[in-house]
Amino acid sequence: MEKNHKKLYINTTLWLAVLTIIEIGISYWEIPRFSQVGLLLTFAVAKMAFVAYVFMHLYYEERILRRILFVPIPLLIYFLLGLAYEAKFEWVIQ
Amino acid sequence: MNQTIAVKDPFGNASTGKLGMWLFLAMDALTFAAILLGGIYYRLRTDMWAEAGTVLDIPLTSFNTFLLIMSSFTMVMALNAVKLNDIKGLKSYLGLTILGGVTFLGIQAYEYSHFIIGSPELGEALATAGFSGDSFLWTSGTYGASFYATTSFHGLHVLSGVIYLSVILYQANKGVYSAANYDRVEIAGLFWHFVDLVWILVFTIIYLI
Repeated sequence: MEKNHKKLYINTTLWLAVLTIIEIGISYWEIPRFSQVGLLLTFAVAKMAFVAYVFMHLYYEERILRRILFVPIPLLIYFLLGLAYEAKFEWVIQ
Repeated sequence: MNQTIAVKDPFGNASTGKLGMWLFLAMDALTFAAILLGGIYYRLRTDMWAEAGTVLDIPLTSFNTFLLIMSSFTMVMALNAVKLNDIKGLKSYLGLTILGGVTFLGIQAYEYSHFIIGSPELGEALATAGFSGDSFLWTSGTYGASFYATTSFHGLHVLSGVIYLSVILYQANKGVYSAANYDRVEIAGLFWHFVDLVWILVFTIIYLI
């Protein structure tokens, strides 16, 4: 018989709710734009990690599956930086 | 002479169906990434983009976000229940998850209708971003196009998830699932959690930033 993980799931849900409330607070907080975007994206990634590791049980999967899923992320970041650079570049020459 | 060779499966106990779902989700994540990156690109290229909270309703969407988080909780509890052979719990939690998904879609439909019908207040909010008119449509510049492309694509995923989970609930009512047979519940759960996971990013990028 499997173990009952109810407590872990309740705690994760509470963390997700608290992080969401903080995120909403940050969106109304008047701080430099760069810091605000950085904080909001950090909180979003933390929440996504909670969902993937606990709710989707990625924590219990074999390491190779986790690696396969995480390998495209650096490529995605490279793509994002390239797009941002290009958008900014065209902004400057307009 | 027969010889038995021990082979360790690199994916452990993960079933073929589960690996297939992970592969699909990886592909789907890249599709979402392309849509979100497209929106970010347009945003960097134009000044016609409303500040957070002026056009899009943050309190209403925050409620929707909490709803999806709760539905993810009920989904994982449904799996927890079937693993403990609690079939009544499985059905109840699946029902609550479906209800959460349907409510999410209802609120999204309300949000869309509010934007499409329009109002003088909405017109004023749109004017701050350089748009004319009282309605916010998919033709309202790259801002409108990005908003509707991202949220409707996600909404379609929620709708697919609701249909998918309804089939699982129907099968649960037929007595298909037990502590010895719950693979399909787990696979459906992966899809539903992914829908929640993507919404976390959509909510942050489209609504809060």
